[in-house]
Amino acid sequence: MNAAACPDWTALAAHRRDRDGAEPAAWGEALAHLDGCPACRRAAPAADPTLLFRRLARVEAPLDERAEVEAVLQGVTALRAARRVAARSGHGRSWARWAAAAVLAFLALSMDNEGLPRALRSAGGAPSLTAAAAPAAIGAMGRLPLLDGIEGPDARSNARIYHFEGEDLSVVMIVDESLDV
Amino acid sequence: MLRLVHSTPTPRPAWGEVSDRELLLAVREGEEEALAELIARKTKPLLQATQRILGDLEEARDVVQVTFFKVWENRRKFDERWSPNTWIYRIASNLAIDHLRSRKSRERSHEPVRQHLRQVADGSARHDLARLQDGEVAAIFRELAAGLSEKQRMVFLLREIEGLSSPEVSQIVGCRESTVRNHLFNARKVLRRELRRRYPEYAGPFAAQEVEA
Repeated sequence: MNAAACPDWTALAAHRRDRDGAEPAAWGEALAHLDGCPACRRAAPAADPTLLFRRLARVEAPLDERAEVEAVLQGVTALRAARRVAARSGHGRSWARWAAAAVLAFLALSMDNEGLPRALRSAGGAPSLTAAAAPAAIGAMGRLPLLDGIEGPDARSNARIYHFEGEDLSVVMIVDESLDV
Repeated sequence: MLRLVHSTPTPRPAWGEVSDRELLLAVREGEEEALAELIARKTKPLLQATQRILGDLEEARDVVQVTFFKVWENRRKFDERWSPNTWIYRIASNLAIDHLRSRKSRERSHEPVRQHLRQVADGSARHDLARLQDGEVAAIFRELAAGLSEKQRMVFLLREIEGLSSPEVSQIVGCRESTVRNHLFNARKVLRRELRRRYPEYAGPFAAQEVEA
């Protein structure tokens, strides 16, 4: 980049400082130039330190996009199920529906990007519970007590079933978008 | 009794090939697969944006999840004249603002950031903004942004970092463009002042020029 073409960052910064939030003329061009000019990357934040924070756009959290999308899909499904349960319980139905709604909402908001509840991870980050894939586990579910009004999963199910064993405690959690509540 | 005796299946669109607007229109009609495609498209950019606003990836995940839930719940309110991104960002921004408000009283101390940067600066011949690592810039922003109102923080990030236009930001934040400019002006002012006060070694020649608030 030709240094002669570099904008006057001191003048631009003064404009940004003095005017009421309005951008200087040709501000877009100046920013486009800034991104490609090493000299301006030094001069611009020296003139206006808030330009330093443009670098935040480059700071990206390391994400496994596929896992994040999957977690969001599961969470939204669970929240929708919870909403349906809560809506029905508004018509004088069993208290168990409220409990189911609360459990589903909790699961939705507490699942990490691997679909595991964050609260049930051990300190080292490894799951402290067992997760079973649906087909094998669904048979066992038939023996488990389900909440009143909740039908078991069908053949389309891709349910995940978590079994947490503790002292005097055994918790089974079912995450399944095909559950009809 | 009404009985369906014949039906020709409607060809299903390949959701991956339709525009965001078409996708939201399908969501409005209750197409769950369109919602899934929308989630696949928008999760990453929304996560990055809300993570910048909240400074916390776990909270950003919660916000993004609830954002899509609200998109579905309010799908019939979507007006095709609206920009899909603006509508979704508006929902996410409102949720992020709620998070920021509820978090204010438990804001963490950022003293360790300052100490770390002091050490970096002491070991360096020049106190130069350009030499800061991106992660350090993010840490400084989190610290200084605690002094901004939720709207100021939101406007600054959407306008200056995400690069959205003033009309877009005004729609997302839900205020007039003149108010957006005011929020932006005040946010810059606070950030400059706090940067100069807490990190004078990085404020450079600007420090002498700044007018006292």
